Amino acid sequence: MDSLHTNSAESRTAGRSTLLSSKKAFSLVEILIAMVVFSIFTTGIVYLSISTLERDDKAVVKNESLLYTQECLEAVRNIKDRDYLDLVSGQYGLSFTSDTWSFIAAPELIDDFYSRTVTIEDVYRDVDGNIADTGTLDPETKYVTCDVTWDWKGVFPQTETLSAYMTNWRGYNWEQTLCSEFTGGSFSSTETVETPIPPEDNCAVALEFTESMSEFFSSADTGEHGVDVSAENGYAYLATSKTNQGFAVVDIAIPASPVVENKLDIGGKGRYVVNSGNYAYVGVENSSGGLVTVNITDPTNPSVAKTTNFSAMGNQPFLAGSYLYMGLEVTTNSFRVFSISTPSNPTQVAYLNFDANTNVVHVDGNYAYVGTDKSGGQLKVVDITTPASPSLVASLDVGGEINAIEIYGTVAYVGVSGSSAIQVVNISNPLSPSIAYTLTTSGKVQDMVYNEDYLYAAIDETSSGLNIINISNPFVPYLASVNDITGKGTGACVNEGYVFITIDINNSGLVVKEALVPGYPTSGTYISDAFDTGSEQIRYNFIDWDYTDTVGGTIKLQIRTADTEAHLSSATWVGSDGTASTYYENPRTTIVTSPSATGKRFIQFQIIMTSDTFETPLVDSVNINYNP
Amino acid sequence: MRNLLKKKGVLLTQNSSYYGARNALRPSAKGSTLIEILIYFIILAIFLLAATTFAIQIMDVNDTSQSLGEMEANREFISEKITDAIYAADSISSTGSTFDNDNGILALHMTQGADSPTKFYLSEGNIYMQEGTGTAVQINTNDVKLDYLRFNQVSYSKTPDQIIIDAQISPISTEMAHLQNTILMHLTASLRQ
Repeated sequence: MDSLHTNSAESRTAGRSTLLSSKKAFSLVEILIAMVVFSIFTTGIVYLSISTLERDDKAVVKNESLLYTQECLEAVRNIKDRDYLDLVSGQYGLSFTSDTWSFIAAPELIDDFYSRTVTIEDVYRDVDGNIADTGTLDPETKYVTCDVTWDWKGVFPQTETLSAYMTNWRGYNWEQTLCSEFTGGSFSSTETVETPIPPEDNCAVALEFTESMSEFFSSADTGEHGVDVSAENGYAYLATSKTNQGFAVVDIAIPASPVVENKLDIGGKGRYVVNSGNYAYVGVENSSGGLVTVNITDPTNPSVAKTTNFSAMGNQPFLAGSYLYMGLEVTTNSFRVFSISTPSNPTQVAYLNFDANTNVVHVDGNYAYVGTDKSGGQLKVVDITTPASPSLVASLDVGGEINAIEIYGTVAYVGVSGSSAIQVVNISNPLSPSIAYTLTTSGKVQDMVYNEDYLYAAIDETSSGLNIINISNPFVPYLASVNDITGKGTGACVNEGYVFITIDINNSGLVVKEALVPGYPTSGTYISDAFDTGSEQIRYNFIDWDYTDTVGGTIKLQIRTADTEAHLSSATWVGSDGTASTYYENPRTTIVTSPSATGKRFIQFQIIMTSDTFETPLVDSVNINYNP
Repeated sequence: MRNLLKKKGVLLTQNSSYYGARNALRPSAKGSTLIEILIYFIILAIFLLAATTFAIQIMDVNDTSQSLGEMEANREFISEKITDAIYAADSISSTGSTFDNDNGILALHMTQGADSPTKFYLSEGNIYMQEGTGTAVQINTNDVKLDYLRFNQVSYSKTPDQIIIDAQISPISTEMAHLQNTILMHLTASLRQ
């Protein structure tokens, strides 16, 4: 029991002591734990508060960057409105000095924090005029992008971007592109040419197209009038109107100095001549020897190989393959066909009666086009598919006796006696020829020959013996050049770039000219109409032009301005730096007016063009952009 | 013997245990109480100090955040008002405006006749907008003030005029003043003619 009591007291004492000491120790730990818990808790709150502040800070910075981005677009718009040409594709920074915005190298640093970049890009439009990735460049529109970038906390890159399409909408244009607009100006070796580009009545300024013969001229004294000529291999064979020397041979190896080699008596005056190989065939004014075959194996020493008697004078012979077709000055059976399988001995194989004289013959394919004096049907179309049995398939009234026929493609040019005209006959269907066009010449056409795009016509007129007709559009030919060849033209042929014309002058029966080479002058100028901008308080922006250039040609422009239209004509032409020594040589160049000009209200431009004579540059339109 | 030994042993143990416990309890209970209180107070003091600092900092952060938000909202509103007015203006009145000055005035000739001229100016730290002969309206809140308001005109022949605006916005309440927080307003707008 004692032991028990003792035990119990002991354990009570010990229990109290344990309790007391443990109570104190736990309090400290509790405080520490509480502090840790509290710290975690407050750290969370502090972190939350700080991130809120950071977010606010970030918003402030971001909004500030937005203002800088907006400013960037405003600045580019300002630069654009001042001079649209300053918007050139590329990347730039912006500089604001002396109250003026300008582009500097990219990027631009703001407050050592933001970096700002402007990107200008070209804009393309599709066929509908909508903006597209590819298509036609639209020089009046640019795509502008402004980027402001910064590093958040110096690490995280941030960007603010704004973009806009900017157009040159503020400038007014004075554009010259229509024929009626260009014709208000003055031309000096220049002209307007219609361009196929819409709109209607659209023209371009070009150097004047010239279709004139060179000054080249030479002649040979045949002792009598020349009547017809045929040329080959350095020799010209002439029918002349000298009774006992109706045939002549001229050496034309040097066209500038033709030399009469020989003359031959063919029993009468020569009327028409044609040659092939070693023989020439001459229609002779001799009713008992109308066709004379001349051996020209040695051109310097011709000789008569055969004289054929039709009891009629011979007119024009025409060679086609191994046949010779010929017209006679007789009203019965005047169309004859000869076989020349033995060239020295033409043998008649057929004839045809038109009840009229046959003057000229021209064979094309399976048809012979025959010119007669048959009233009401002068042009005869003869089917010669089988030369030995020709048949008349069509007749056409061309309004007069036919003196000359030349065929070019599906067109027969028919020279009509009694009128100064060439009938353009459509023979695309030989069975039904029809007159498509009538071209007036300077006189009666005696003979015709074509070379390239030109028809050379010998004309029965003293001061205009040679007409040159442009047949580049065969159905609508036009008279390109009228030439004085010192006498009336009687016959013509073209050989090796030279035109040989016989004329009715004794001491120069054969005339030689260079074939016409069309071209352009080496330079020319166009001065535009004057334009009234309406105000002295004007700002010129730029001058632009659409053009087609050539390898050997140049285009350059100058402008001049004045306060009144009257002062314009005495103003100095100036170029890209405002002085007379420069020119606008590239389209879309900023206009600089002359400081010495009396004013700016009136303006005009001049186009100066040069060429290599073969091609002309074209200026389709000129546009002066200004702000009134 | 075994019992005696046992008993003796028990007794022995009993004796030594009893005295030993009393001896250990007494000196430790007396010395530790004072130290404990001291430590307790020191820890409590540190803890309270930290807690107070945290609390003040959190309040500061909240104040800063609130003032930034307030200033930002003012900047947005003021810049929108000025920009809209410039976009809607016909031209800038050079006589009514004061450019390149910390107390700048912007006067705009408006398309809407009744609103013409629309003026923006600074008075005692507040920015006012006045349309025509109407009452001037303060367009900043009372919590912020503008330290300066500068207008710069960019003018070039045949080009729409442009205005560059610079201002500094700061909090007006003295509680917030110690935070030394200001934001700048820089914007540019051109006339849309």
